[in-house]
Amino acid sequence: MGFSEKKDSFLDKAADMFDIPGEVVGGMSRITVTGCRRVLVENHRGILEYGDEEIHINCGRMVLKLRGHGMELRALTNTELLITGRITGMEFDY
Amino acid sequence: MERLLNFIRGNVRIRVKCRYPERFINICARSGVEFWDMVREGEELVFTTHYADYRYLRQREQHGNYKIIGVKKTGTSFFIWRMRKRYALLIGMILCLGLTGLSSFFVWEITVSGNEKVSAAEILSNLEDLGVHIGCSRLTINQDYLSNEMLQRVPELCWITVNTHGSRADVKVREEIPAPEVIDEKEATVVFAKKSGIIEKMVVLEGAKNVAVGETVQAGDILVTGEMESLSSGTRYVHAMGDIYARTWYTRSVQLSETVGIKNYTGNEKTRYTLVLGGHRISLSFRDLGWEHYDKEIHEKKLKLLGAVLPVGVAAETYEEYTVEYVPASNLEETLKARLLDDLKEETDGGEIIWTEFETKSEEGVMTVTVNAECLEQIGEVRKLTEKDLHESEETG
Repeated sequence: MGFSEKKDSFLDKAADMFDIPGEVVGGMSRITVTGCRRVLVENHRGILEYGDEEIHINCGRMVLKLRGHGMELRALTNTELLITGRITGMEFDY
Repeated sequence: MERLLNFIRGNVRIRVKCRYPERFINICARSGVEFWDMVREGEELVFTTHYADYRYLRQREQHGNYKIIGVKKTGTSFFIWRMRKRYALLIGMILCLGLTGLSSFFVWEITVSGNEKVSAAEILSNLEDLGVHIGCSRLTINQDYLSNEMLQRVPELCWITVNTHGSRADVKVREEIPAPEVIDEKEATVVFAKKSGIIEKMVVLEGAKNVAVGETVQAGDILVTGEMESLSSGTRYVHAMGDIYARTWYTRSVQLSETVGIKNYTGNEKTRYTLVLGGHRISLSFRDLGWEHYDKEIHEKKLKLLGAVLPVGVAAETYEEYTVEYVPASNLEETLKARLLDDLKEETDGGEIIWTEFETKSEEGVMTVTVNAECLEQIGEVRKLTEKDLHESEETG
């Protein structure tokens, strides 16, 4: 998981500088991971790939790649989604 | 809970074939289509959704790049829809609902609360006389009438109300608190002997002594009089008070069988069921038990629908067989003596037992214990001074 300095937008930098939540200023996705069995993504832009072993989620300026076993999309709304299952890896792709 | 609600609302498990399943999922999210238990099988997606969302997806099927290839409807609403042509079932359901609704106009359970001295059975018995019983119409319950009648019938009550909740009647009562006896200290009284005996000690608080210590008195004799003679002011009447202690004698006996019956449970147990319909009980078992001695325990359970008590219930009656074995009673004499002493204590109102002599006899399997006792107790009791007392004092004076 590497963050590239070049890809950070002005709003992201401002959020970091003024210690303001990124999801408020820059429209970043807020990802809540509970243990290794539950991932809640807020402010998502849609699902790019769906399977029980790999799920790719469009989070705006990045793609969240979840890997695991028996993964299931438990709930999905226009802004939030909840994935459950045994999660073995998470990757942010810019 | 959520799954149960979804089941009541009705779910549809559908299989959708689409080239890009992810796009289909995103369309669902944007359109507000709720789904769960989603499984991907190659180019197919299997998931559960609400019926309304299923209809929406069906309508959009022509325009979207997906095809619904399998549908399985589950839930209560679909079950009722499938049963719509089974007329007998429908009539049965309507009848059932109708009877349930009708039964809610009647009282099927009565609870009594707030009573301590008056038994619930007495209250229920009087209420039954006034028309409030299991099976009566709750529309005929007249609060004011019941309250007036019940307060006259049961004087120990000072307030009663009968509240009906559905088919349940809650009887709430308050018992009256007796007013304490007010002693009129200006009233002329005498202290008389409630028992015969020999005066041992006199503590006179007011009034004139009529007897002296060591004198023998009979029950009813005046011990302290409220009529006071004075040389300066003539006769005046006072409220006579005092504690008069006297020696009293008692002879009391008790009898008891020398053998006692003990229950020996054989281990045989049977449970029988009785159908309770309103106030009637119909036994579901017609064979005789064939036991001579048995204990019977009844557990009644009334059916409830959405909190309302129905006039139908089942009572489980558990019978437990036992045999009776007669064995000699142990410590019978001591038990009878202790009982006699307890009785004496009660009779002398907590007086002191000075001396006792016991006599034990045993005849035809019955033991008789007799006690001769001497006690020291307070025998004075206050009563109003009457004209008769004045005449008697004049005669004796």
